Amino acid sequence: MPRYGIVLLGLTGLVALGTACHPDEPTSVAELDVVATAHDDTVNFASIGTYVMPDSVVEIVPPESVATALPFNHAYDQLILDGVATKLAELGYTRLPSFAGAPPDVVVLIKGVAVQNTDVYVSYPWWGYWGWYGWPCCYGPGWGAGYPVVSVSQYDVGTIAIDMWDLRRADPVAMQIPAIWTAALRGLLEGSAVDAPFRIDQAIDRAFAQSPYLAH
Amino acid sequence: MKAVRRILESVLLLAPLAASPAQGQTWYSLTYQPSLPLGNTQDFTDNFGWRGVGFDFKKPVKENLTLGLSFGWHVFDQQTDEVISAFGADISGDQFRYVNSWPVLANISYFFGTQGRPRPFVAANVGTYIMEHRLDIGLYSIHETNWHFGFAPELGFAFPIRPDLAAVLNGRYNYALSAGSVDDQSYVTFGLGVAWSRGF
Repeated sequence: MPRYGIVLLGLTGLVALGTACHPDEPTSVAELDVVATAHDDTVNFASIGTYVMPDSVVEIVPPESVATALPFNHAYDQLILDGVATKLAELGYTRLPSFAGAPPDVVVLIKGVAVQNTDVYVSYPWWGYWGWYGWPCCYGPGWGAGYPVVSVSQYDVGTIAIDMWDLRRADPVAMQIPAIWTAALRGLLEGSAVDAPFRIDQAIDRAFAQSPYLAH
Repeated sequence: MKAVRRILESVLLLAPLAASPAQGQTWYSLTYQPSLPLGNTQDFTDNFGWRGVGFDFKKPVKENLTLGLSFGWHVFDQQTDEVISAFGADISGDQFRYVNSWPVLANISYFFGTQGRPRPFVAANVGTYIMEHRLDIGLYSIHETNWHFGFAPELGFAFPIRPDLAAVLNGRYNYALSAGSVDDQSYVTFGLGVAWSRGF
């Protein structure tokens, strides 16, 4: 290949750098928020008229997260409760103030979980590997054994879980109330506090938007 | 993979057997290759792929007929917030989807026209596409890399700029058969570049 071919191959390298494998990756914490919903598809949600919802977000610690649980920040409880209540009202559900009087059809319970996740990555530098591989047969002192490169990533994750329990189908013998809809709003507990209300509102919007079967 | 290897070997082994009246002739081309996703590739990543490069080598075995190898790298991506259903749940969030395709193809090309003049050519490529599909959502990443058997008919033009150097325009329809849990993939690349085309 001629000399200028080498130059152009170099340019190719530059182009290759510009053609990163995974362009346009997330640039903000909000882009990492995820909402998952699941429901019992045997339930006719249009038949649900009333619900009761406690006036606080219940902090829970899953058994598998006892060692990594963080205190749940209740600063946004009212925002979350109001957001869910507004959506349910728009869908035609009537909120009862308490269990006194006529029993509600369903209970809506909002739970909060905060945990610290830790990921550990271990890799081996290739030069260390080969140094180790040859010793002691062919290589004397001065050849390093090589040590793994360890990196640790630690991040805090919060989840808001919205559960809907069907009191009409409560089983008094087994003492069980079936959950008929659940939404998990999960995101990194990072980023600006100013963005938090927007992220919470967006997550609640998504939870209801992807659950059209809730509508009356 | 065995089938792919067999085909590549067959093409390469046949080369020395062919008559070679054009000794000393070689073709190296380097092209920028933006790509249009089609079919299942488009369903996963709908955006036009502006990132792509290709490198081709051709060696004449008869007059106007070459055998060669082709390498490429084509990137598709799409960001979407559409809801996906998985694991019994509906999941939403900003999804970042990527397809990286690295074709490694053997080819046979036929050049029309005469040396030193603009030369259209047609080519048939066959080989393997190493394709990585990746979907990132939240803190999760689902990815799969497979070797797909595939083929690619191609049309091109070489315009001589000066002796041994030509501008190249080509279009290639890439079709990769299903592999792993990934369905068949297809896209069209549009190549624009230069060729060191000694003897063409």
